[in-house]
Amino acid sequence: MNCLVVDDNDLARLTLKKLLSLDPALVMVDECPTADMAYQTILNKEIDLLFLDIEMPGMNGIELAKSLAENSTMIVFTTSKRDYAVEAFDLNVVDFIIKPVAPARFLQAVKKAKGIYKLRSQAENDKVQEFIFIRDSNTVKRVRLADILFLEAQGDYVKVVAEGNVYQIHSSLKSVEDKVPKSIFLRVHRSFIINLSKVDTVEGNTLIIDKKFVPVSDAYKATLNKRMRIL
Amino acid sequence: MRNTFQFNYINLDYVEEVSNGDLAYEKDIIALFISIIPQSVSSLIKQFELGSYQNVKKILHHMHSSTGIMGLNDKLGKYMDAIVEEDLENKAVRKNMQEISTVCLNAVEEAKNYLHTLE
Repeated sequence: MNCLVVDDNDLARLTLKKLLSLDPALVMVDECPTADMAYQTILNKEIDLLFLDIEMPGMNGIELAKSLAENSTMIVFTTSKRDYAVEAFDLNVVDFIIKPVAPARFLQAVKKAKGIYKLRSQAENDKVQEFIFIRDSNTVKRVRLADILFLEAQGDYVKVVAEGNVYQIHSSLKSVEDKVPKSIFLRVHRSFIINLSKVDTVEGNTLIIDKKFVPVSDAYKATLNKRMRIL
Repeated sequence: MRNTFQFNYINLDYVEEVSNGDLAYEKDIIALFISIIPQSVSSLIKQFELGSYQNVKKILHHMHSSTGIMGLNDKLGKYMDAIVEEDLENKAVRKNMQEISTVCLNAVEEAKNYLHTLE
């Protein structure tokens, strides 16, 4: 995650810089002694997480956070004053830490930020991914996710059964599972992943998709029922 | 050497917790403290003499981060907070300012002596 440290105090900035080195997933892109400079930096660089002091000369941290309301940058306030806590949390920030920032408290805030970051990335991934590319012999083909009926493990291969086509990929089912959106696809058996929107009928431990029978393991049945939202 | 140095003002527990053995960070923090605090103290006195309590409060807030990192807030907190949060009379503010100034400047001297032992 790209991080920006904003604090008018040199010691506080140096300390946050040191704390950022505790987690290799955090990259300190820049540091700014004023909120005004930070605002320009955020406009010009991709910043995921902001460690932001509140009382600073010029624009203060609360004002900067308000000006970023439409921006996806996550904010962790770091301040000496508890008085701002309520106002800060009203701005939907990730966390609010009192200075000096204890390493354990810092890592707790980072954990929260990483959780949000992961959810957003997943949502973004699901939103933009409308197709996958499949290597079929010597060619790579684009296949619409909406056309895929189910995926079946067959030894070292995965059979991709789509509307009007069947492809074979040299891969494990687990590897393919990690690459398709979880909002669309669901594992129902150790050898099968289905496109949930293609299910026609479920009867006991079998479901039918486009006249094809797919087994459902007991282990996955509860999840399947939950995802189908049966009325 | 660091274990035998007798501190009367600063407390490096926090700095050592963050540094996790990184001596370069410890030296940098101490050097910054030494270079920043005397200037802050003199600005504080100047703004007080000019009667600008708003600026006095701003400078104190700024100093609070530095003094907190150097473990001085146990000694300074009550004086700083009283000026920032209470409506003190001029005489009381002056007295608190003197305490803040004395502790800070002694802490800087102590930090300088300690820094020499690290070099």
